[in-house]
Amino acid sequence: MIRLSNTLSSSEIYGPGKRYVIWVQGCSLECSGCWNKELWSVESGYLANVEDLILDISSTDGIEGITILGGEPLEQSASVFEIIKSSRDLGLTVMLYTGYEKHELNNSQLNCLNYSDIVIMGRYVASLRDTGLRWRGSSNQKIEILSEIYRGLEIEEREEVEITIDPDGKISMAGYPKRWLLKVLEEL
Amino acid sequence: MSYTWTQESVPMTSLLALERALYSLGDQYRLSGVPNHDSILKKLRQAQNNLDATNNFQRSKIACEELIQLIRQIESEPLPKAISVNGVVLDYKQWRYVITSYHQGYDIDPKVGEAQILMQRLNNAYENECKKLMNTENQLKVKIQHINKTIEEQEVFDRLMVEMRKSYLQSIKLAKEKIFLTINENAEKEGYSVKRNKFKKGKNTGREQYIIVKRS
Repeated sequence: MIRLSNTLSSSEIYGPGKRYVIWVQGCSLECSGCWNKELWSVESGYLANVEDLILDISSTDGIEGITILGGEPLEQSASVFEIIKSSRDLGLTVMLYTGYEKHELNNSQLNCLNYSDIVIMGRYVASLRDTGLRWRGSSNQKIEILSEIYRGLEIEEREEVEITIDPDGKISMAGYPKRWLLKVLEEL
Repeated sequence: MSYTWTQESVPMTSLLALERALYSLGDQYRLSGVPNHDSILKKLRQAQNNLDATNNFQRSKIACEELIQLIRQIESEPLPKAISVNGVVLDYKQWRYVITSYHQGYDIDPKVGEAQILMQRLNNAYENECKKLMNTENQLKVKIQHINKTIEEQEVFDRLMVEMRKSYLQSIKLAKEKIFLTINENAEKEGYSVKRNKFKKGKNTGREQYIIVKRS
């Protein structure tokens, strides 16, 4: 089982190509100025069966890979590793976010890194916040490309926000929005 | 890691579904103070009452036809900008009814607490009605219930369900268009580009995504 906050079966703003995105629930790092404090608690969100999640990923058309973020994915490293390994077996690439630095990780957490293609690493630092960075929230966070498949990938910095409207009209937003966009949504 | 936000409830886009939600909640949810919508809502309720009250095929057929005509009339009608429930005004914002007057001294009024409960129940009832409209299993139950009735009668009921669903889906389509135009217009002003993706196959069918980008 894994405690999740949310999933999005197709997104274009969390890594190369279209990706299945998984927001893990729970983070003990509690970075000051964090964008998503609702994702800190280990009581919130919902418990998901890892096998069901893999099944859902495998039934999603047209995705290049998965992206796992949170919360802090490596605080549930055993389940996260299972997802990473199964996704790779399905021929998907893996992008992983963590607020930890490499030297802070135990073996189980390092395994997750070793099986990932791209890792976004480092705490969110509010004073270094920059919404113009691709895939990161603050300029101290590093993009580490760990596999051959993305070696040489050009990462053009850009501000990206994604708004999803479900068939029933329900709206969700993800990314690094500026205030004007939040205001537009508030006033719709 | 990044900002995420999801709307708490299914957005209210359909006058028909709103009326059905109000109907399911009973008399305390009568609307007032919506002059442009009063007559159409009353007609809808009357037509629904007529349909529920009759066991006579010819009369129920007439009631069905009347309801279908009304549904077609209201297809593109926007929802009321404000409604009054038990004397408390609820404003239509972000596709649902909310109490915007709360911070203007309303908090000491016990009616507000009551209205918040009513508001939540209205949101839930709306969501239930939408699910019913989209639930094919429910359609099947309706069919089984009417299995002893004539084929002609069944056809009229089927047509009513089709019109209701169509009306609801049309309201979402219009809402999506409005959202896209609003975002696009504001994005252009701010120097952003917007890419619109419409999902047409697989499990995401019917979903739309807008990717708003500004290159550094």
